[in-house]
Amino acid sequence: MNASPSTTKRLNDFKYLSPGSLTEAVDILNQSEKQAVIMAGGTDVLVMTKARVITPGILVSMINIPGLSDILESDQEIRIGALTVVADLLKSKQIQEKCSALAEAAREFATPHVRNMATIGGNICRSSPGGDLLPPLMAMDARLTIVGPDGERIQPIGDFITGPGLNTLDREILTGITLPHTSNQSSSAFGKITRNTSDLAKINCAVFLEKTGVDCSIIRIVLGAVADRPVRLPGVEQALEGKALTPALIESAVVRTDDHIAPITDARSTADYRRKVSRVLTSRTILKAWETLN
Amino acid sequence: MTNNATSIVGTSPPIREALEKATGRARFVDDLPADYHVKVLGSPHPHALITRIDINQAAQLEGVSAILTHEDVGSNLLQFGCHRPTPTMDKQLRYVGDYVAAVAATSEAIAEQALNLIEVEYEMLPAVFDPEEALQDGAPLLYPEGNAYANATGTTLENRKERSVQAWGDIDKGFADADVIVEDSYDIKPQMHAALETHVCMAQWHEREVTIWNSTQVPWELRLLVSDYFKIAESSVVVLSPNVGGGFGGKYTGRYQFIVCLLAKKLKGKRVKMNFTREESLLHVRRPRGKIYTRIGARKDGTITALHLKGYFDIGAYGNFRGGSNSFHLEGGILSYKTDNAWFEAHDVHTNHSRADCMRAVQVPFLSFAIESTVEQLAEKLEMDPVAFRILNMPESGDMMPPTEYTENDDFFPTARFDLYPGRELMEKVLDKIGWKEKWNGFSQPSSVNGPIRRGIGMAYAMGYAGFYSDGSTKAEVVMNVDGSVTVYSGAQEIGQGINTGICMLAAESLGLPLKDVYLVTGDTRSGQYDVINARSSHQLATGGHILLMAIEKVKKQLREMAAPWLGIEPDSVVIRNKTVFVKDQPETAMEIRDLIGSLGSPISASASGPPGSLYPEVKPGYKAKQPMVMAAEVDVDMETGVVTPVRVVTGMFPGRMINKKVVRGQALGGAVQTLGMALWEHFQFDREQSRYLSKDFTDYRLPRARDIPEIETVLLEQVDEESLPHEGLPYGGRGVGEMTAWGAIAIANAVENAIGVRIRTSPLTAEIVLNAIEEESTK
Amino acid sequence: MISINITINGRSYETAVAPHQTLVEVLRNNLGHIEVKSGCGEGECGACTVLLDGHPVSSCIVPAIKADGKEVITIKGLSENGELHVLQQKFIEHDAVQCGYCTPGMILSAKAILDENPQADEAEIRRKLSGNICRCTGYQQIVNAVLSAADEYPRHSKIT
Repeated sequence: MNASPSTTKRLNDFKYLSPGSLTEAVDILNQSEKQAVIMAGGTDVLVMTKARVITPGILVSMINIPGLSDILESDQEIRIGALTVVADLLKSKQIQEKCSALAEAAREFATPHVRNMATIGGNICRSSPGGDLLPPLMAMDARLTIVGPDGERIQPIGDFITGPGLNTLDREILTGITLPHTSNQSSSAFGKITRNTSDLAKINCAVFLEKTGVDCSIIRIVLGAVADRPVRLPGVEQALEGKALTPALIESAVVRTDDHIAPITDARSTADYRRKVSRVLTSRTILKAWETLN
Repeated sequence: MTNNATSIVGTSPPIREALEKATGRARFVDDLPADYHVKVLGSPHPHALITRIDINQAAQLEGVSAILTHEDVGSNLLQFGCHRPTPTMDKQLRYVGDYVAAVAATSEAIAEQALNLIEVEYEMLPAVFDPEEALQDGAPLLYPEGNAYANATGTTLENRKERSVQAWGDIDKGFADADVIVEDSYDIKPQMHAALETHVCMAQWHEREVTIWNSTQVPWELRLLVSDYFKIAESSVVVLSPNVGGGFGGKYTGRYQFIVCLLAKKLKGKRVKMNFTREESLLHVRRPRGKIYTRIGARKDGTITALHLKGYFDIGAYGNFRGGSNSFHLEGGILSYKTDNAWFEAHDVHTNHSRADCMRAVQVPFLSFAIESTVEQLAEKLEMDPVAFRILNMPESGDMMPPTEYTENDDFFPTARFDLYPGRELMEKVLDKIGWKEKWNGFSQPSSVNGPIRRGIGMAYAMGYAGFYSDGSTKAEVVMNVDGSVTVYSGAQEIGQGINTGICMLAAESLGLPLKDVYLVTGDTRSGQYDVINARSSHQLATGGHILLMAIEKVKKQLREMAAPWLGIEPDSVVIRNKTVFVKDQPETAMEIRDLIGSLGSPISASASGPPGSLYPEVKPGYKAKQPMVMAAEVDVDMETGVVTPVRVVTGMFPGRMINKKVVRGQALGGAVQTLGMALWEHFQFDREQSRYLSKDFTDYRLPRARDIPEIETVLLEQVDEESLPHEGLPYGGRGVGEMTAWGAIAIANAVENAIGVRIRTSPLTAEIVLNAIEEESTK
Repeated sequence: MISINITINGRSYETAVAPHQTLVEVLRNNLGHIEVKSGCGEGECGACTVLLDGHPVSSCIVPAIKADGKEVITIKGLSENGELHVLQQKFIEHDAVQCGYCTPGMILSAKAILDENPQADEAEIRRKLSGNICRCTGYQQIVNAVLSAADEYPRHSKIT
């Protein structure tokens, strides 16, 4: 047996395929007995392969499949192609206006270099508990369009992620993300705690809320990197729904954050720190979203 | 004679290598083609014995050319110049990443595959990670003679010292005389050098000669050690170091260069290269960890009567090549305060961690962290202004330091007077720049509070060294070309600090030449010049420059004597400028050097070096050169998250005379940012349960990035000894500047204390640590 | 092996790459562009920065195949007819080069910033250079160089 500190900068040998259509890509996945890994931007896949966290037998590139990197707005919704790179998310006027939390998360995502290659679809399918784009998408109730051997299905992102690095994809491909239109009395905000610039999150948070009259009629709060997947905070939400938000009210509500998280200690932070600061980040992000409307 | 009127010294020409580096033409060692590539199998265990190793399968893999294990090379010890004879590879593995086997193959990919085919069985040994624990009876032993290994100068394995001590006066009496005493303890975690270019070495043998390309700070040391290791003449070893992508003390001589040479020897005539991955570089070398205990006593009036400091330094499994932590190197940090009684004691201890070597400013970050934190507490207890306290105890120019002879002197430092030491002026200027008077509200009183954000201001002072030492190991040669230009043969090593440019500027100034007329031969040990200290301890400008100017004076003397009869005057009246010679005050008598040397046909050259074995030369009789350093910082602390954001940093240094102003400023800025990294973000972490380093890549070893850094201001003080000629002592009065702003993490920590009212006794000050400290304080 | 077409510094190449090769490997080892450095292999340090269709990427985590049909600019592509790009000039003037290892990548990232917004201020420059680590300079002289270059940057005519 040889366990050595991972010293490689190289990828393993794999078979490379670049199908020209979704159907072809799905076919490959279904014939390959789980050896196949989809590559979108490649940033996660490459880093994980070099670290031998994964060793793909077949790498299926999405590079030749057209039509998956547009951001389209209609009356009802914004549809984001799964291959849209993070840099384009942050530049998009529609995203900035209609989902500022997603634009903010894109802005704080990794390095400019990674933003130019990493895709929204890749970040979603990586399903990392701390993925920066996930809390905003969950707070916005994003719906995922997934294509498989049996055709297309739609799934809310909250149901899609099932554990750390785990999701409901079964030899299927994520093709698009749909954000429902929201009223003009709605806003969203994103927050992240890191060690320094261009870092993975110790904790990240996204809030979506809608105001009716003077009250917060809808609020959705998501925390990332503090459980085995990004989590909603129903206890906190219930304490705030239907009320006019004030700092004091928010302060008392965020105590319930504890009920929904299970933070761990890792290279970036400690469980104890994450538990304490989750409340702080949550309350600040809620306030930020609320103050945009007031 | 005034030294102040210069035309090149004190200007800011771009560094010579800037053009090739900015255009991508600069070659680094990994840019050179190789025939074979080396990968090393690292130990998965922190402490283990290899009970069985079978390389047969690996050796049969197509493309594998040679494999080394301890069975081949264990008996070869690296000895010469090294206090601890170190096995190149050993049956006993002493840290995670230690060398189990090394494979040379036609590609890195094949070499890696081969590593996976090597079968190894290990017997696990208990491991020890803490330097104090490692000294206790019954602690796991890394070496049969024990884990203690002091770095005191002149120590060998035979006359091994287990601690280094520098002391003067009577420490017990000092404490008896004190009205107030403060005791405290600190744990400063290792920072990692993390130069952007990883370690890399390539070797090629021809018969009994070997050429080595290495990204190294110390080519001459490497040459010496390789010649001793293989028992061949030094001139049979050629070390080439084209460009070095950063060093900071992390690129001295390790064991890996010998592994590469051994493999290359087996593959005679072929170029064999080992290029470290980022992980391997990070796990290869780091600063020590310092557990420091202080006890400082003072009288009511603020005079320090006794300064006691004891440090336990974790130097890792192999320590550095000169032994240990270099605990009191060049007296840095120990002569900061002028007290009658002091005791500095350092224990260098081996642990089952990666090797520790000196890093920028060496021990000063450790000593200053502890002392400047304790001194703050002392001043507070005395109800004395912390600035006044420091100024009261600070030495001044001309002070005998230490005030009385060293009573314990393991490093053989001379007791001598400080030459120029404008500590007070530097402190006043730095504090003025940061607005100390307006902003400091008192001990533990933040300068402002804005919701959860508290702003604090802090400062620190320490004595640094000037790099004037070991002139006996440095040599320079200067040849005057027929046209009056010169070629300097330099043993200095350029690592981005601008030394090549500095050397040329000194030569140009001294000879009255335009900079473009100074040619430089360097980066190649065939040049015949040497500098065994090389790019360490800010030595190359201060000492190397001094040696160079001595050689130039000899050249000038020869030239004057040659010109004198032609000009019809005494040699002393000959002026040399712009490739001409003329009678003093009579420039119309100018004669081209080309015509002078050309017609006589005799080249002029000279070399110079310090007296053999000279380690601590006087900068002038009875005087030694040091420099005061002051750093001040403002930080914002978020009381709810513990996040510390630096707002402003002012870093003060005493270069004496800036040879190249922009270069000096660049060193000050870069050093200050490394200080911020050490204070806040750079976190060495080891998971004992899993036996792996969490800080093994840039994802988790967080280096400062552009957005993290606020504006940094510099105070760069100049003062020269008017009576000294440029080539006497410090060259034009220039002191070494490479390290003396990379020391002051305590200035940041003191600023945090000012903001939150809690003293943190470790670095880095992570948000987790700061938040814990805030909470513990609030529950009191 | 897969054949790809790639333009590097204005010159077109057709070259065979293995699917597991990264762009930095192909540039350095296959095509001799050793001016592209390698610092960490995991997309963190930016030493391997090249411009891919004008956008800075970490070539160590870009599969070489993804460069098919694209334009790559390395530091060597910046000087035209032996004339230094204004950023190169400013880096030299402002002492923004010490060991030089981060320099190729840093200048390319800076070029992308100014190409997109010649009026970038210090905050934007610092933010967008945060994918490039410099261990030597402390960034200040680099930022000064970029700001100074911005002053002389060709203004793109914009209809607003």
